[in-house]
Amino acid sequence: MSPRRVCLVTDELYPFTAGGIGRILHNLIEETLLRDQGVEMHVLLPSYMTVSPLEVEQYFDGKVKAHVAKARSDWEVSFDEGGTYPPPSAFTDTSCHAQSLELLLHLRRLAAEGTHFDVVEFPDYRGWAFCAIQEKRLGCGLTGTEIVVRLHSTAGILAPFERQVLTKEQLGCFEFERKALLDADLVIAHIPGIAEFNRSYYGFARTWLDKVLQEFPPVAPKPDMVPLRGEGERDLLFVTKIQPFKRTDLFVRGVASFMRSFPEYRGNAVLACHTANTAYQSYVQSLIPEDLKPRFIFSGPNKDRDALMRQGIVVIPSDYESVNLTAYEASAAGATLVLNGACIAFAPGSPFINGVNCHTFNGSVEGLVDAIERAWRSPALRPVEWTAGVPYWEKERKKPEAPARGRKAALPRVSVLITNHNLGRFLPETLASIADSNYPEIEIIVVDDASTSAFDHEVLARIEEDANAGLSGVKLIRNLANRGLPASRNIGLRVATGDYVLPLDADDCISPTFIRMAVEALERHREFDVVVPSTGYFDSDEARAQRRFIDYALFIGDCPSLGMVANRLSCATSLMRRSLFDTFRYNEQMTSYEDWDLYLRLSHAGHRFLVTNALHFHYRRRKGSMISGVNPRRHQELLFQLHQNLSRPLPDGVQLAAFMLLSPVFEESRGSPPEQPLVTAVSAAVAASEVPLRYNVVDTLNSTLKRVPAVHGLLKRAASGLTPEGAEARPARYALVDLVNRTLKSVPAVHPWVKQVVKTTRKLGGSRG
Amino acid sequence: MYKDIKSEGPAGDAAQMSESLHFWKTTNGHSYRELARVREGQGNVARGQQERVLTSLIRSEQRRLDRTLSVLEFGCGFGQHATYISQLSRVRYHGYDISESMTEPLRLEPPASLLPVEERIFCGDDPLSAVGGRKFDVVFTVSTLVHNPSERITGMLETLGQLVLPGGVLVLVENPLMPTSVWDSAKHPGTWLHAYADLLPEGWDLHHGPGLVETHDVYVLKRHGGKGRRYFQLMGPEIPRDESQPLTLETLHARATPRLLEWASRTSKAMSAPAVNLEAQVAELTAQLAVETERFERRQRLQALSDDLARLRASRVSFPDAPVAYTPPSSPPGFVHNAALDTRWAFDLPHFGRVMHVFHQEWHGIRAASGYLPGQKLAITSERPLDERELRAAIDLIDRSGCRSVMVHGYSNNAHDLMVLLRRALGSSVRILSVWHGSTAQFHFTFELESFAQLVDLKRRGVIDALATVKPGMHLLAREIFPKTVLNLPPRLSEAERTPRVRGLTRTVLIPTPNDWRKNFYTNLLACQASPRISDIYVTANYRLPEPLKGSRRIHHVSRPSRTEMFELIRRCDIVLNASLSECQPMTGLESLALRIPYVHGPLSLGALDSHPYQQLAQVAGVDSVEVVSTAIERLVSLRERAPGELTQMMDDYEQALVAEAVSVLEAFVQS
Repeated sequence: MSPRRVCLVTDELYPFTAGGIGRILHNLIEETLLRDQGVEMHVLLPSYMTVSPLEVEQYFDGKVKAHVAKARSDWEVSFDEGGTYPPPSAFTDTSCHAQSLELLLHLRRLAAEGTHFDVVEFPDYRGWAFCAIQEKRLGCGLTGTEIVVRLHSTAGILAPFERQVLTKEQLGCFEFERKALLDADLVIAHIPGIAEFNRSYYGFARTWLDKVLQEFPPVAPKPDMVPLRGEGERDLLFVTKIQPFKRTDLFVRGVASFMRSFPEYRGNAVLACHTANTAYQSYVQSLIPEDLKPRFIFSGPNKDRDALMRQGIVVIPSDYESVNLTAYEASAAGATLVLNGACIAFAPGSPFINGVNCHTFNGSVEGLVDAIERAWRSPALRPVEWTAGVPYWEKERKKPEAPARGRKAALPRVSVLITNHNLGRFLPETLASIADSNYPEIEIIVVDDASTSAFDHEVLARIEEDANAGLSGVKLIRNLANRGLPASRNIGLRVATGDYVLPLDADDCISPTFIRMAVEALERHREFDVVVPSTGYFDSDEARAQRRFIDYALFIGDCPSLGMVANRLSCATSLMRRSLFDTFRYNEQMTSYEDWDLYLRLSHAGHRFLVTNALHFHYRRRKGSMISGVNPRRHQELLFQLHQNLSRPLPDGVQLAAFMLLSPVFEESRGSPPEQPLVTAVSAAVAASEVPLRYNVVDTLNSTLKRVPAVHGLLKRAASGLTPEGAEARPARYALVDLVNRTLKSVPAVHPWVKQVVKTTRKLGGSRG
Repeated sequence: MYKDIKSEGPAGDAAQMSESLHFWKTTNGHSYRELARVREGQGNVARGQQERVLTSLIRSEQRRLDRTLSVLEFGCGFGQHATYISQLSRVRYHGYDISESMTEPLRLEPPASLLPVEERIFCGDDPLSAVGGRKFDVVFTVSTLVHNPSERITGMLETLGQLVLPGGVLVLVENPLMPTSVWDSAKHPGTWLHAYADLLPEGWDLHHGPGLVETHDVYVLKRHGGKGRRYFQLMGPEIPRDESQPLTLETLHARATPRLLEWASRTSKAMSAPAVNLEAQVAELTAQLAVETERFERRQRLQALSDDLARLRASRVSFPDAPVAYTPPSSPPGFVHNAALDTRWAFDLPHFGRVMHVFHQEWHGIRAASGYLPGQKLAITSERPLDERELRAAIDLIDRSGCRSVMVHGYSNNAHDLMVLLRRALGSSVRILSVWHGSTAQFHFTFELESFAQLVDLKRRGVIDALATVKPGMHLLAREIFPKTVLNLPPRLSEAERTPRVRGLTRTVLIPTPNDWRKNFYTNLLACQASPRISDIYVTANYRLPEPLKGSRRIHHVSRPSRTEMFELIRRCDIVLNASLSECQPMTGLESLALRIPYVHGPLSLGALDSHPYQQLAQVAGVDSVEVVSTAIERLVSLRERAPGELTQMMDDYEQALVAEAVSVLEAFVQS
């Protein structure tokens, strides 16, 4: 077998960081080095890690090559032959996207230096694989590399088990995680059931499971012999972490009930672990009955954990774990285990078998009491048995055949739809940007929406001349009366003969390489229908020529949840299959947000988007750009319209929690905001809103949908991701967030309403698990 | 041993040749350019490499001949290489192609550097008559010989040889070397892969350069006068004539064998694949070309439309939010004669009236130094190459100025060209003097080291008459160097321009140095922070000081002050700091001296002046010690406070001594 070069991307690695994920990766590396099958192991750490590559390499005796992604300063733009990449600060509300790009840029740098990987493995959390996947699918790099995502636990999966406040950052992270899992070449799951759990949570199709490979990881060193159980009464131990989803509360309730039921039991309850959440700890402590308080010992992490566990009964009541290393370590140390059988890591199919190597319970307090009793009375059990699979990178696997690119009869045609309304003076640059394109098969359709300026009429006359000659591939349609932007686009679509369409506003420009890259990617990957260019804003043609941008808009592509409250789907311009317009049209009722509306409907219908990492769409910022004309009230109206247009029921996996973002009560204050008269009106509307307590999903959805525009209002510009014109010292979105924040804090009625949404969302999350 | 392998085009070489010829003659250059663009895909590495190799080769020949080089590209096509080579300074590019239609883009829209185009681009079946008897210093081909059968190659090389001037070179960027010539049908319309080592005519050397370009090998051919053929390793495009590594024909064969094997396996694979009808292939290609032609025209019309619209827009009054037309950053003037900046503060000594100082507009320190010297001034640019026309104009100006000594300060390609051309144009009627304004410590930078070496070389070759330096003892490096140290002069200021003697202390300091290691910026900054005498610090450099190291002094950043702004800044201060690790004669020091503001600096070694009390007062030995520098601040500022008259008197005296010495050295150097 030829040597394979494997790169593990991680921010957890034993012994440099605590935690189970780093332990698993460490064990995987060690075992691979031990078997010595000619696999070359690399690790790539994000720039915020403090461990130095040398330390890692020395730890593994120089057999592992370590890289740390190069950190960029906030506004540092990157260039390479792939184009211009946005600076870290451009990612205003999705730091995981910035990290993903940082890692990708480092992989590109390594490739430029000649280090190509056969496999790059990312963790699932934070969706770091996103940029690498886009890069590969777009044919811009990593072409021979298999991009793998290992299922530990995404932040999205853990969300229903943790009490938390939803932020746009988190929901963005949810979408990146979702897309990384959905589009990875290969997904690694550690235990049965975990893949299905993710699939149903995210609402993926069953076919997704085809690319999931199940491999049990080397979880713990195997003991040479089973240690003897100690003498005397055994304590009941909680050794994981005081954290809501680890269910310390369940432990306390169960143990207290057990102590009450069996007064002859003389042991103590020892909580020998870290505390993740002190509020939760106080809550847990308040659950302990006064008379039993002396028997509950909060000792903190114990130095000789193995010795402690050997003497006790280890209870792990967690609701959710993907693989719980503590259980394996405790079992190996000779502890008696009591496990929550409702938790997927201990469910049937996992190495844990009730009555053989552990005692399980069904997640209820009664069940726990019963299981502790069994553990207390019964003789010692056998340690858990497991076999670690040989990691996939050591196995010969059939590489998916690259689709044979036969002799193509003809290049697909791209129809560029340029809509104009009194912007004729910008057309020279827009047309020139198409003429500069390195893709040869392009037709241009200019739809003039009844421009009124004299100059535009001159321009159109000149274009008409050319269109009549029929040689430059330009078609001109002049609307007799003003029809609006979405209608004009639809009119253009009707005459488009291309296999692909690219809507372009008369004042914007596209990079010379975008069309070719996007067409080739969509030709190769039939599962995608849209390619979204990352956007740079320019304020002069000179700045554009030098790729100096004043602002950026970065997109996630299809994001059915976040997309309902913020347009992170795509900019107005994207390359789309024309076949999409057999069933979809721009909604002519929309007076703005027609792109958002279209992309959201496409996304909910399951159409997939690719997003470029480099900046390929150049958006002209000028006075009177459409987006700068949207005021808060209009934003509400438009968003309401947008939600009305969605088809019901909403697709699987859509997070209704997204709507919480429309009332950003919890956003942190960032200094005193300016006053605005509008505030009172909105807060009154908020205060007046009564929230029905209904459990029915559809009802909740409906009510939320109806309420959204009324509550939201002020977030508008932030939600669109676009800052308006007019150079303010700080972006308007910050000011607005501050404003909303302060206002809503002073309105007590909002709070219960949001709480209700939390509850409902919880239930939804819970019912899915 | 390889001769038994005989490979032919499918229809025989002759047929193949005529088909190939037909293809090129009927193919339109515009369409082919489109096709090349389509084929190119993402980033063609090879083209960039070809460009670098050819440019370095041409540059090296230019250095050798020290004049404008005439170059011929044999098979120039639509002008892939014509554009950039014709824009190189001191290169006269010519292109030849057998096909008229292929060269159409070049002939119809020639770049300005190819005018008049009929003198530069030639077509016709016979290259010798097409170029009208011209001969060239460098003749090169890129992927041209591969379209000709191997029987014709030796003959073609001989023809090409006739186009090369005696002593010139023939450069082939062609197929990777093969041990025997074969036909390769991989890329339409098919190519021959030649064994150039075997096909080399008698009396020639072949320098073989594999690996310089991804898809091609580079061959440099030159006549050696004798009989037979010689082979060498091409050691790099910078040294194409290096004969340090001779090769044998056998070595070359052995080297090329893997290519033959590769070809064999490729060909056998192609044979086993279903045979594609050749005619169908031609038909397909023709159809493809027709489509490409149409696309090309479409693209051109679109471009034209866009240009038209832009013109239309330009004819209108500006729109309130009209885009700013793109204007490339204006290029600096080639040279400026006696600019106010260079004469306003100059010493006025009539006997230097026939000395022309030449220096660079953008090198501020040397420009200031040259600007204060007596004589005429010519500031040339270093930002872009001067073309021959500009150089001639500059020489004409010097000639008409009546100057008979030209003193060139600093070294650049432009300075080099000017000196060489000046010598050639004016012969011994002009004395060319050069002043090197660097120190040996700066030789750390290759550019400085190379530049100095070039000057010594120019002196040895007699291009320049004398070479002096501003750092003592550099004549020990080479005996050609003028033994005395040239001293920079302070600006000539009127009494009114100097700082008034009665002005009180301002508690202000200026650090005029850039932030780099040599200039020791941070020590200066931290010494100011440590000094109780200072409350305001002016800096010109960009720097970042971490929070814990920040002091309580106010720091003002002044970026790129003009000369007068700089004088104003100095006047405002109690003291100016430049305690740098290595220095010649810093101009800000001389400016401060003239303005009568004390100036802290490191050791200078200026001979007799070193013992002058002012220099002893201002000079510090331990420049990298914050304590030493802040003590120097204390020493000078307290003296200024205590006895301002005494300090000024000291500086007056020092300036007089310095000027006297500087002028006498300058006189000696001009008359040397």
